[in-house]
Amino acid sequence: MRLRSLALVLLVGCGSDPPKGRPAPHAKGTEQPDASTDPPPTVRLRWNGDLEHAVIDVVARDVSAIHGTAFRLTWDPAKVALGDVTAGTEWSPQAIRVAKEGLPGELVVVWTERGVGGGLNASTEAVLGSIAVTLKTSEPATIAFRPERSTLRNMKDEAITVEWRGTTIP
Amino acid sequence: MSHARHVDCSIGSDVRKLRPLFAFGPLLPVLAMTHASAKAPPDSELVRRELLERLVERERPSHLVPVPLLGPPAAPSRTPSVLDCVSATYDITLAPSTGVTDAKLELTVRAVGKALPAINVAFDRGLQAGKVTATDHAATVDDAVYDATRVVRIGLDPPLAAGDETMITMPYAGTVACATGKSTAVACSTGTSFSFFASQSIFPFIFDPDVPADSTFDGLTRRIVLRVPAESDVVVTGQKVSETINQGQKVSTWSIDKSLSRTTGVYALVGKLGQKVVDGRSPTATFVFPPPEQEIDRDLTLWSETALDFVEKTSGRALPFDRGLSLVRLPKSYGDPGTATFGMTLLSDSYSRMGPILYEETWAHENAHLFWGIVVPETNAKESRLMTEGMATLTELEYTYARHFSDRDHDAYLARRFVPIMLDVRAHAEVPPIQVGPEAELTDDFRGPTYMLWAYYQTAATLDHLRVTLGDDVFTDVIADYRDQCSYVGCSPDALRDLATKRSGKDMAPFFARWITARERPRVALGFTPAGDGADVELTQDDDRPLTLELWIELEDGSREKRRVDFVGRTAKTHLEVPGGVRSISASPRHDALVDVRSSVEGDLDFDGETDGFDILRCAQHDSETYTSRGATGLWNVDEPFDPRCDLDGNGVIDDADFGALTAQFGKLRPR
Repeated sequence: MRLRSLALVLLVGCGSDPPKGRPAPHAKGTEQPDASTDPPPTVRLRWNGDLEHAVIDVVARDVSAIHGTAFRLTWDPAKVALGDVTAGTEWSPQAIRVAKEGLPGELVVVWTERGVGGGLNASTEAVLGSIAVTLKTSEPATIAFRPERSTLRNMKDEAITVEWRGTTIP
Repeated sequence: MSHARHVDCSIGSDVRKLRPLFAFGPLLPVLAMTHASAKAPPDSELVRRELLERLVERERPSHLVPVPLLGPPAAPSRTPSVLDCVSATYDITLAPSTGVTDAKLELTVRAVGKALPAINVAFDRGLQAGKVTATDHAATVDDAVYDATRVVRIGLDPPLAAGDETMITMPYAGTVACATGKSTAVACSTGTSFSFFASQSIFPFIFDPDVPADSTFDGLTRRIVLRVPAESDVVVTGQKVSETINQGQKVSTWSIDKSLSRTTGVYALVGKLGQKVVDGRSPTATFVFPPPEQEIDRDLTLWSETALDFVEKTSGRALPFDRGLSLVRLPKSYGDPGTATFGMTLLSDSYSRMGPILYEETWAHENAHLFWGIVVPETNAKESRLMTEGMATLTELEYTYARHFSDRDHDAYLARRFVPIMLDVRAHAEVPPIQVGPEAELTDDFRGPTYMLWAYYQTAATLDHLRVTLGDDVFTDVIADYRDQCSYVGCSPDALRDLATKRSGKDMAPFFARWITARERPRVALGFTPAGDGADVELTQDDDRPLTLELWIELEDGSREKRRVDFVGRTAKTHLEVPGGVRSISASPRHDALVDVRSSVEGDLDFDGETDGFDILRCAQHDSETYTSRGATGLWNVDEPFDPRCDLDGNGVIDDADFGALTAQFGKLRPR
């Protein structure tokens, strides 16, 4: 699904004076300092791109030995359209990568290794995958996880407790 | 990665240590165990043979002589014999070190329904019958040697009329040969230490020459007087009534004062015996072994306390052997797998090669037969083994749970144990239904894996399925009723059906028609729609017979409710009220062995009505796993990781085709 790409800005940690209209995007790879110490394991959505090619990375942090993940994202389809879903390069060639917009405004994704072994190390940070997005309006738009329908699994097929952090586009 | 899973038959393997629990989904946590040492070849002949010979009533045709040497040929059938044994007294003088025997049998028999012209008795070929007499009848004697056994035909002139009784007195004497013959097991072994005398050695086996393979329950009481050298220890099947020493001879008297099947073995162990008292038992239970004491004897003694307590607890009553129990370790050199008889359990130490957990489990199985087979026999061993081997097998599974896995989820444990058990059954279409009708002929080659699958596997799985269907409390009451009604008389599965109907208030005939007199695994589709205070559930099946399932309702808060629901009709609907939002509704995995329950949404393995990553993650770590049925070895497998739900095409391999089928259904969500 190819859609027009527009610039997005992460709401969290935007410290600069906002220009008129849409705030300027953060440069690739930068992130705002977190006020808390020792953040818990997280899976977050993080914008990564520019005004022309907006991509949301699904980023795991402070989690080691990820064997697989299944998650759902929800958004207002009147404000946002999701495009291509791409699994991260750290998954093995045999990994299962499936995504589908099961309902308007709800994306279902699974990225997982097959068999025992393999997986991603997100002890610091790892990009599990990416989703291309298009903004349809200038209104704030939230893309959120459905935590009750999302899971991260380790090598023992145990669910890893993580904080699922979506993003709101101002 | 591919690995074929098979039974672990490690020589000396130690399965004490457990790997951590692997949770791979809401329905079926996996039990994992470490195996510390190298594995024996999975197709070890010795192991296979041992696995096949776990019998409670000594059904060893090569030993029990279903060969009408001295009568007309008899077609294998379940036509009941007219022979009804009433009582027997054995008075035996035995020199255990040499096998010199001087004995007398007094046997009271009755003819049932028709005249009885003769009986056969079989004993060690080294012994010979003397002059035989019968009350009010002339007795004629013919004998022949077959293999390790002498078969004596005692003709009655005139034949014993229907309803009449006579007492036959047969002296017999000689020196036991203790030959092995065509069997791999010995019927006796002489010596000064742990000499062993089983049925058909010094204890004649009695059968009808016209129906030699008759398997209808025919019980009799017995009294055994055994006279041995004064210095000998003596343990005999039955309850010890007295023991005296007089002029260098020890005379012990043993009583089997309840109706015990004439095909059930009688044993004597004589000489220097190792004996240990089992703690915590009253009346006394004594563990008997060939000296010197080994470490395994200490283990078996310890296990005996827990096993006997468990058997009594699950049977609902104390064992009725009020003068004591004898529990015997048989050396593997005897080739005898073991059995249970009146007040006595015997088990070959060849089972130690299964590792301690399975050895202990097998010990529990045999001790369970003290109830299920001895106190509570079945009407006909060729009609059904449901309430003998089935109950003993279910008991052993529960015992291992209680002893080693009680910190795990009970439903998940049982469901997991039954996966390889029922995969083995389903791999063998020739396995007959649990209750075999009179038209079915179980030929002599109905041995081996087919017998195990029929007698042990299918029965235990069906009993557990019945238990989930009825609920634990009702099932416990039904079993107690069956035990009380059928003690010492023999019952068929019909009695269980009737008692289950009475206790549950539901007609259990449809259940028995599906799973006791037939071999069905109906496919049902289960779906639900959230509805305010709960959910509307719909079940679809191929016929309109009633079906009861225990449904598991997983709520959004992570908790689980269980409801037993009766469905009637091809499509049945019901509303379930639960205290919270419903995430999924499935059936207890303990139904899986006998019911193919699937979500009404194809590809929805977690029964939440949607297909998403959770369905795929359930199977992801099982990629390339296979299950290859190797006869009847599933019972020896407490660590089967293969998940049949991930094998969508049922080919025994979790592979690309299965993942392809799952991903093809991906992303079907419930409308909001």
